[in-house]
Amino acid sequence: MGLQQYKTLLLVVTVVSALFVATPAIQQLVVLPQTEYFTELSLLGPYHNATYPYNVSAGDNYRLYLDIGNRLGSCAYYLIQVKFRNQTQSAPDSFNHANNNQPSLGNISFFVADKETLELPINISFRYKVDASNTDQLDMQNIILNGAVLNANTTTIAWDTERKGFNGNLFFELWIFNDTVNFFQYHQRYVSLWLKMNT
Amino acid sequence: MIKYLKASIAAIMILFITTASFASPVFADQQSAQTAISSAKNTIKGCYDAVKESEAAGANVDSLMGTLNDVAGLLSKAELAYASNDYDSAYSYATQSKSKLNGFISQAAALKETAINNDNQNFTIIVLSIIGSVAILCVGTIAWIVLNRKNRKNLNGPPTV
Repeated sequence: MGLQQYKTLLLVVTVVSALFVATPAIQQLVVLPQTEYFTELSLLGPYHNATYPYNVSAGDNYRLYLDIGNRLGSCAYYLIQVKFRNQTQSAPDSFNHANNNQPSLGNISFFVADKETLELPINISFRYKVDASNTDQLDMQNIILNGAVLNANTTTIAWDTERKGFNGNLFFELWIFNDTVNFFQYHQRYVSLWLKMNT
Repeated sequence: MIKYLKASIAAIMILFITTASFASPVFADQQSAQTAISSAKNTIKGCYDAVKESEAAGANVDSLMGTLNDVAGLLSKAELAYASNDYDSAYSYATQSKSKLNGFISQAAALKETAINNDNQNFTIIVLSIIGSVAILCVGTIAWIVLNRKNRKNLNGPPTV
């Protein structure tokens, strides 16, 4: 082997060895920083897909799944506020990122680790009856959420002449705990489901 | 006969008292349920802060998150029970959730300590790897220079007399 070949071999061995030894330091530089921070919120039907219940009957149980994915770069403490409204009551405002002003019927709190997704099973049923004095009005009584009977008797639903039915909107608002101010803040995300309340 | 009757009544009373003292049902009013829920919430917030600190130090907080989620599940049950005016269940769930967090903060602190130690160890490894890499490059360069000189001497040929 000539001296020139020795020189090439030396160059290759030196560079490869230096890179190999520097691997722990290089690893620190190669990791790309996370640039987008967000939370995913989705609602799935009883078959874990986008087939949702629409025609509901009083007393029947419906299963839903709420999926929450945390991409905030750290673990997070969330709260779901369960709400129900009729056609005339306002929905959460997506443009102004504002929550609905109605009081929550029930809260579900949970934690999600960074880069993890949590699935919350929701069992829900409705109790309601047509108003005896006004048959164009449906009076909500209770919403049974995961076995807890929640009072919903402040909501009445008027007959929708266009869609021909009593339509109620069940929605789930996502709130996040802000440890700087020490309280939950609306996380500007909600999912909702329009339901036709059959009588 | 009367003796038997007295003995039976005494036995039933002892049985009742024993059962009542060991398995007394929770009778809670709205106020005590609310207090228990807010106390559980404060404890959970404190534990969440501890988890965030451990996570920021680089600790693997998966086990802690599992416990926190169990506790959050109990708190949700407590809140839903409270919303449905079932104050006994609300109180029971809230106290259960709080008691599940006994020793949680010290567990989080221990994980944080381990993470800090691991971080220091990693830093030492990185510094040593940089030093080692530079040393290899220096040795390689010196060897290169030596070989180059040797090469030049060979090209110039043996000295003439």
